[in-house]
Amino acid sequence: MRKYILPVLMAIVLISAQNTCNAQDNIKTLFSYNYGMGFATGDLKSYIDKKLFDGFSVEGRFFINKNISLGLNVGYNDFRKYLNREVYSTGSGNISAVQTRYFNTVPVLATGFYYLNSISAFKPYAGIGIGAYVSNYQKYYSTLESKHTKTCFGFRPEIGTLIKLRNGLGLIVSGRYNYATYSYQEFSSLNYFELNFGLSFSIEK
Amino acid sequence: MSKINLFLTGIIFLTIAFSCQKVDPANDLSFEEQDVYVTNHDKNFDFNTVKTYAIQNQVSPVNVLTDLATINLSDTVFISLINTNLAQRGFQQVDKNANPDVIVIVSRLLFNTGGNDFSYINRGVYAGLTNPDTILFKNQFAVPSDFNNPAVVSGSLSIDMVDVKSSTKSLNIVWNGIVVGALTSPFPGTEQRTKDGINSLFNQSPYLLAGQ
Repeated sequence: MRKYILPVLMAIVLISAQNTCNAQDNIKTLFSYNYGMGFATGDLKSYIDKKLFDGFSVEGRFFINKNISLGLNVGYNDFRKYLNREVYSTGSGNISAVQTRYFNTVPVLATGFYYLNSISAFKPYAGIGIGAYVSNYQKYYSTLESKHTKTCFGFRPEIGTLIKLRNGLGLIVSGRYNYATYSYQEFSSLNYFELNFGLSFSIEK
Repeated sequence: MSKINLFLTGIIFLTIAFSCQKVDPANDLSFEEQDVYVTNHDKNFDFNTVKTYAIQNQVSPVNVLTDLATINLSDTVFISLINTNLAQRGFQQVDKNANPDVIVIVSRLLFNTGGNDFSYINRGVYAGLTNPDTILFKNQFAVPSDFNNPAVVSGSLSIDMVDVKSSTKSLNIVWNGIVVGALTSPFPGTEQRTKDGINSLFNQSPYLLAGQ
C-alpha cells in the first residue's frame, strides 16, 4: 500500500499545479492532517529492530506574515515488534517467553516555521517544533506486562513544502527529525525520522 | 461545511479511531506462545554440594478451593518428568528419611478458578494459604530477596528446591521454577504444555548440576 502513496501524491500535485496560481502568500491560517512514515534511529532502532512505523498528526499554523507562522502540532506514532520465544535473564534467574514490544509517543509541540516565497504551487519552509513527548513503553513477556509512561522534553526540526491545490486545499510534504529526552531501560534518548505527507486546509486573508 | 468544521470533524473521527485501539498481545499470540516459564536461583548457593534429593510423589495444591485438593492423574507424569530431568543432571533420588541434601516441593497454584494475576514466592505460606508440604517442616522458609516472579496466574505449577542441610534457623529455597498458567488454562493440551514447561525450566537453568 505504502509504495503507491508517493506516486499518487506526485500525480495529484502535477495535475493540480497546472491549475493553481502562483500566489500562496496570503494564507492566514492553515490546518492539516498528516501521515508520517517513521524510521527509527538510535535506541529506538535497537529496541524495535525495524525501520518503519506509522503515525499521524494534526496541525494548525497561524501566519504572522507571508514568511513566518506559529502553531501547534499534536501527533501519534505507534509501532510493535514480536520476538520469538527466548530465554531472558532477570535479576535472579531467567524467564522463557515470547516478547511483544510496543512503543507509542504523542508529541505535543509548539511550532515555528519560516517560508520562502512561493515557486509555482510550492512554498518551501523550514522550522522547528518544541514541546512535550508523552511516551508509552510496553514490553510483554507473553502476557506478563512491563509498562512505563513518561512525559519528557523534545524538539523536532522540519523541512518541507506546502503545495497548493485548489479551493484552499493543499498538500504538505516534509521531513522531520524527532528527538526527546526519554530514558528507560533500553533508551537513553528517543530518536526517529519521519517522512510526512499532509492534507491541508487554508484560510486566506 | 466550512473548512474548519471539516477539519474538526476529521479530528473527532481520528480521536475515536485511536482511542479504540487497545494493546492486548493475548489477541495476537497462540496459546503456546502465551505460556511463560520463570526460574530463580540463589546465586550464593553451590549446587555442586548437592547430590541427593527427596520428592513427594504428588503435586501439592495451594488453593482456596478444598474440592480441588485431590491428586490429579497428571501429577505422576509431572513428578516423573521432574525426576528424569534431575537424574540427567546428576541428582540422585532418595527417601525423605535418608537425609537428602535437598527436598523438592511441587505445588499446583489454584488461587481461584477464573484466573488472576499475582506474584508468588513460596515462603511456606502465601496470603494465608498453606502449602501442605511446607507444614511438614519445623523451620520457616527463606527466599533470597531478589527472587522475582513478575506475575503468575491461577493454574501454575511451581517447583521449589529446598536446602535442608546447610540451613540452620530457616530452610532456604535455592531454586524455584514456575510454569505459568498452563495447568488450568482454557486452551487445549494443558498436560503437554506443562510438560514442555517443566523441561524448559531445567533447560534454562544450566547451573543446576549435582556434584560428583
